[in-house]
Amino acid sequence: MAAFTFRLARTDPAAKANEFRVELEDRMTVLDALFLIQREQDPTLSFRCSCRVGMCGTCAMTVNWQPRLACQTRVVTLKSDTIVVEPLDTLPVVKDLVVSMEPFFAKWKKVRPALHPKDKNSKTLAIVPPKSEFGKQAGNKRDCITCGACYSACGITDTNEGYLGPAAINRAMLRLMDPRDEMTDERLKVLNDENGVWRCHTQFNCVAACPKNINLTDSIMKMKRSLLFPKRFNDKRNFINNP
Amino acid sequence: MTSAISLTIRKYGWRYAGNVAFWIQRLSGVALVLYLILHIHTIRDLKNPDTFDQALRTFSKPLFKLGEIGLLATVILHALNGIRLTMVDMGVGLTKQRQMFWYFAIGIGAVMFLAGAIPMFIYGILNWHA
Repeated sequence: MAAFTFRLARTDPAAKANEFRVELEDRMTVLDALFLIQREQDPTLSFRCSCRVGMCGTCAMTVNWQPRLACQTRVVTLKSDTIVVEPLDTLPVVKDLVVSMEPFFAKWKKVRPALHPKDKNSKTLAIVPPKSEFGKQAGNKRDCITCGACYSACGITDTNEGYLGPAAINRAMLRLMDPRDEMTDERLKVLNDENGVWRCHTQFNCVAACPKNINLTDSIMKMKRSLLFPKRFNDKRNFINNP
Repeated sequence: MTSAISLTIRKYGWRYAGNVAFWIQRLSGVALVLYLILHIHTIRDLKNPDTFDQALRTFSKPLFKLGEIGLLATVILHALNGIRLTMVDMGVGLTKQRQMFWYFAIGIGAVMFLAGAIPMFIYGILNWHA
């Protein structure tokens, strides 16, 4: 057991306090601490969470100036007695630690993230060899849980409202490489725009922030190079051929 | 407060190295553009030999030499980080961008800077003669 001071961002001016002292066990996470504060000290504290095991992406917040998943961040690993918890940057704050994900999902929808198959009634499975280009990319990059950490860490979304953001571009790349998908031109048009991939300035903040360790900048760079040869996406068999 | 600052530098300097590199590239780029404007402006005005000699005497004063050492640092940072960015854009070493920034742009940059700055300091500012 060790005591920590939690300094939380509060939006309600009538909120009792923004600094809380809590006793935590070694394995407890930031989310555990927030629940402890809510139950024992201030029931008006607001934050979002859902799965508590790092697979839903609901509890992303800025912990000690870095976007992280509250449920996946053990407090002792922060190596600090004072923990500052704030809502995600860039996104509009609803209350306390809760942000509206609306701008993030508006961009997400722009790239048509769902699968639009050529044959909707197809019963055959796509065979994707792990060593093929698509297999290699999909291995880790489809792990995205849309938590918004990359979007909030990015320095471009911060200053440019139109920029798609790393997560949407990453999803668009996976769909473009998918041999079953046929919505190529629409997605390429959104990506090949001044607010598409070309707005990225390779700050690598998204890579640093991603709780799933997805190399998002790699996806954006791949799309930038691919857009120089957009015909690559006409024949998608190249992406699933074994090298 | 101090512990928070040192933690920030220790931890985020590595994790968020790309952000540090981005700001260094932007600020050094702007500084170099301002320098180039000044540089071309002074050269343009030096049309007769007397003013040319006088200008060169002014530029050999320690203050200007110190500025030159600063210019050297800016050029080296901008050039080496520019090579890193070009490689990243071509898809080379994307997973090693932190190493490329700290070891290549800053590490090798510091060695190059010292190799140039020490003689400039000794001969330009201390006016040391063998």
